Amino acid sequence: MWHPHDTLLQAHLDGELAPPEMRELTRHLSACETCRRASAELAGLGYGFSEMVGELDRAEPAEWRAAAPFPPSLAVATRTTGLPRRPARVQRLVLEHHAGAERHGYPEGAERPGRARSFAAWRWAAAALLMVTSVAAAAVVGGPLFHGPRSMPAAPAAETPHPVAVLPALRPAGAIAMAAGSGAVEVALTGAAAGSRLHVTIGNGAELTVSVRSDSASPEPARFRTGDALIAVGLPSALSLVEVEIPATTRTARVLVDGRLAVAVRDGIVTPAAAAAEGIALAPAP
Amino acid sequence: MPAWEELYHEWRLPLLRYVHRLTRDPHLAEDVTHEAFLRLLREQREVRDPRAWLFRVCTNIIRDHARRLATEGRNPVLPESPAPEPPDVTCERAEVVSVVRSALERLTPRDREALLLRESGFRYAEIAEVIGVRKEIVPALIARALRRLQKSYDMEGRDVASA
Repeated sequence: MWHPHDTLLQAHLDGELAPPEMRELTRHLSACETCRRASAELAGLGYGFSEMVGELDRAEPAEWRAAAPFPPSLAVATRTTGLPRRPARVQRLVLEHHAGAERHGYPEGAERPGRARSFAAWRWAAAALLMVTSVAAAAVVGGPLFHGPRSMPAAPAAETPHPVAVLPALRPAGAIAMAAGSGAVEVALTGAAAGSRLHVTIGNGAELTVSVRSDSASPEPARFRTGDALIAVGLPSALSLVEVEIPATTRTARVLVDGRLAVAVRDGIVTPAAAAAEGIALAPAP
Repeated sequence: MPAWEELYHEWRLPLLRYVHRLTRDPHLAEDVTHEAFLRLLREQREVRDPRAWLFRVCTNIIRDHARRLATEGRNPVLPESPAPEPPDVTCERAEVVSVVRSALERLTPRDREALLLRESGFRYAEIAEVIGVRKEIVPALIARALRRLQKSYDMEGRDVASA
């Protein structure tokens, strides 16, 4: 009987197999206890490594997590290299941000809060003027110097400077199983520091929706679709609760906050990264 | 906010973390991260994926740094200026960190990079691009590195899976 090597098991755990290979290996694992144990062992080593990295991160300087102004030395460098030109889609998102959009996801076609509209009008005009000036200046400087990522929407910057906040360590709250056919499982990350960056990588190769919702800022979640790519979202400033909705069909996913693993999804099981005793709590959304 | 500043705020902390995890030297992490952003700003060609580009530059700078130290006869894996433990760190936690560092040092640089890039949310294709290997061998690197970590922990009488 054929048994997969560690290499194949690891790729399966990380959601990196093509769908036919994934199906075949999943079938094999359902029938072979030896390989299931080997897979679980590798998965356990992976979780353990995340814990180890969490310990290393405790030794990092606390001031790294505070808001850092753009360094003067880099600001000088930007003045000498000219203005970047970005793909149109990203430019439009930047304009939406400057227009005073209150949500911090990338809603495609979503309604903006009404109270921002009057303020948005003159901001749109100012941003449009800025854009025209930028394009003209880029033409003068010459050539595209920089292209933003095509598949990765850039996280919007907060309108206010990032507050000084220490990213709390993660508190385990037990594994949360995804119910088959439930449509979605909401995983609540409470206590995420304002200004933290949430990154989600999805590994099942399927298009799915990740929404980030605030408990107070806006009633509507900010939703965006992505294929097998990284989604980056800047957390809103006045925030105490972030809900990350991950569809139940997701086999693998990783949610990172400021580069630290917060949630891992493997084989449909949502597991928080366990590190320290206080800070971000993980619990099933009500 | 200009694009450069958005990039900086987006990737500054993940880059610092990645370099710190690789080198355990916070001062080196700050220098390397700053240098990577500086190089990006000076890059005259198109940069399609700045995230992968920045991580690749950091990885290469650290490799160069390690090679230089090795040539000078200095230990490339030990930090030149390790961060002092915060005063509230208990002895037990300091010991855990020390064990973790030792275990990571026993990995090859490439294994360490692959594991830490995966931990930073990179997919195999991206890891391959950053560390300069074929995508097909990335799962082998990761699985092998995890098994080696387990062996290192076994040597310390610990269990990675319950770290």
